[in-house]
Amino acid sequence: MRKNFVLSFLVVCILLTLFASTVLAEEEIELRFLGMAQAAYSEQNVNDMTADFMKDHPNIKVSTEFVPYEELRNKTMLAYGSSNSYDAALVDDIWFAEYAAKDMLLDITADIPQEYKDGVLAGAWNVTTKNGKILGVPWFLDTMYLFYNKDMLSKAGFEDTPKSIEEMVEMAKVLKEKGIVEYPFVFSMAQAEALICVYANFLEAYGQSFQDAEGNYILQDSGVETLEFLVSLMDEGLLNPNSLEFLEEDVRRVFSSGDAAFTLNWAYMYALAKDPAESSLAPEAVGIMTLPGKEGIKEHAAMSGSMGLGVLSKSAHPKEALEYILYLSSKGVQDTYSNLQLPVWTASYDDPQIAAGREDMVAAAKQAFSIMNVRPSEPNYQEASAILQKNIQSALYGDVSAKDALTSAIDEINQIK
Amino acid sequence: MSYKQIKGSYSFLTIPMILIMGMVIGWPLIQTFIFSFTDADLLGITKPGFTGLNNFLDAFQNRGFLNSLKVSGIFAVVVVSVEVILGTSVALLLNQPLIGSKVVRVFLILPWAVPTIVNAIMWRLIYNPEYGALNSLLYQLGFIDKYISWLSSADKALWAIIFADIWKNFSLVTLIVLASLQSLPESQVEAAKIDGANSWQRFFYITMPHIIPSLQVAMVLRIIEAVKVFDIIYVMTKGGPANKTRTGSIFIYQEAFTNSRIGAGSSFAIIMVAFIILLILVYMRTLSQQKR
Repeated sequence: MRKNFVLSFLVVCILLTLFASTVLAEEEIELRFLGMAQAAYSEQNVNDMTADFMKDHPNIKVSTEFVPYEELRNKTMLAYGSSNSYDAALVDDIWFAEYAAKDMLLDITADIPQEYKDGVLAGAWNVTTKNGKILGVPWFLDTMYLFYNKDMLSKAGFEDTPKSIEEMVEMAKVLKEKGIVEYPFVFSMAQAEALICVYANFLEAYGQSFQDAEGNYILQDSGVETLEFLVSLMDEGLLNPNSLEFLEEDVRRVFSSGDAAFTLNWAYMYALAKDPAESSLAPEAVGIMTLPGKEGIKEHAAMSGSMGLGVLSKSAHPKEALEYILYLSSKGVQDTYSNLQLPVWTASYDDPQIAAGREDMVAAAKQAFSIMNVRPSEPNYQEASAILQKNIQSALYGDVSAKDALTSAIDEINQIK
Repeated sequence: MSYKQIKGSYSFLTIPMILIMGMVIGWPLIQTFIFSFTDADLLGITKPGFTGLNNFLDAFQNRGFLNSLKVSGIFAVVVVSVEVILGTSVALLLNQPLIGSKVVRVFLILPWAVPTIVNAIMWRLIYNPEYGALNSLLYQLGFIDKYISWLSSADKALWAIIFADIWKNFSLVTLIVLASLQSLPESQVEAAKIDGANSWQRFFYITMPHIIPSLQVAMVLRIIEAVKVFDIIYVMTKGGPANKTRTGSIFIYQEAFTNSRIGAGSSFAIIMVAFIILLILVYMRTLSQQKR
């Protein structure tokens, strides 16, 4: 009798174990995340964050994939169009409108915890909100900061930073005349979105905009002076001619090698330009500030290059995908990995630990976030941008005048609108 | 059992291959053809509408597409011409009993064996305007007085890519022609020599007719590859600067996948295929006439 009882007990235990393991196995959820393999948080950072998330959520397995920025939108859309969509993806601020128009992102307005709504920088929600719906969680706010080489400026007799575009150009001329640097400026102006970012920041510095209040592109009038300014830098030998081949990483290397006095780049460059393993500059020689404006127009300028995390509407596990992106953008995680990218949480900026050793960068970020403008956010922006890139480059090569280049670009853009 | 009977009884073994080829090549081709008459978008959000021949008519008025076809044409003509001349010359040289020619033959395969993406990245580094080996070499030899930005120069970028492509692919032509040369009966050459033919005459009347069929194969392969070139350009310049290296394939990719107009992109692709077929027919016909 007792033997039978023990046997029955064992059988029940085995069955229970089998049942439990089956149930658990069924509950294991796989998520796919697509991120960016350049700038902002590094791949290692994101993988570490993801590993921590999986430790806290043993039933969720997240596979991460990273592609260069230039491929991120196409890959997200191609996967979405196929039967194998990602569950969550990194979305640039210029893509939210297009994704929204195509219903690619889940409306998470009602699912955002109140602490996020209250705690994240108010301006950051503008990036991820379209037509009153929150389509993503802000992950980082960024702009192209003006990086300058303090040692070079000091050698040329400048102790202060430039107060205007004109003053910056004068400084560059002196640096060149004194033979301190052959090309004082280097920018990322390859035929890519990076070119538009550089142009957009100077456009902002000139107090101009891409579109009028009705959303019509007006660069053939508003943008000519800015483009003429960039062409003049090229003509006067102040701008490294290789800029037309450079993306952000190329620019970082040139600046970090001490071959440029001024450049524009995203926040991630700050830590790397000071890192002896990545840069030949003395850490104290790396200066950062918001781009000064044109004299008499504005003091400073900043154009957003921010990004958010979204849940794709075809995700089979939207609840878990949302949980994952909320974790990635949580204050604790953002503070921990703030080496390359500043957090989107207001309170983080009052944390002395976050600002320690990079007070100038935090100050520049605070200023930039308060004045930051955005590039056009509309469904066909990507195509309009490609047209602008080609025509702006034509002007920089001297093939056509700035006015003709922008007039031709706007004509083409009007045809696709 | 006759050969024909054996062949017939085992032909069913090809069915899996035909099915797989039909799925991975045939169906996408049919789908592309169907899409080319519609206004389908990449994500399939809206139901594609039939547009008749509009996509094709628009293609011939699209300056960007016509310009990209011109770039493809220049690329293909230069690349194939140089590769055929260079490849044949090297094959003729290697067919001579020279010391070390066997070792050279082995090394000749290497560039061709290198994956195109690796080749493109390698040449991007060589052309780098800040630390590239080419600039360093030319500077030290005194040919240039300052480093040149090869890939961002509107008038040099395409030629820089053409050079990189020739470096990789001329050895394919060499290998095909060399194989053909080695099957040339020595007796024919000896007979010509005895008859008093000089080396030019021996080349034009004996060697050339012998290698033309192999050259045809090599040229057809290279024309197809050169006209539809995508990877090396995408990695090196992405079609820039100012669209100066944007070939037909890159234009089609941008139209279909960046601008999400899969219908228009498909029609451009069909035109490209027709263009390639036409080129091959012209080449084949010309070479056949020369052979006769």
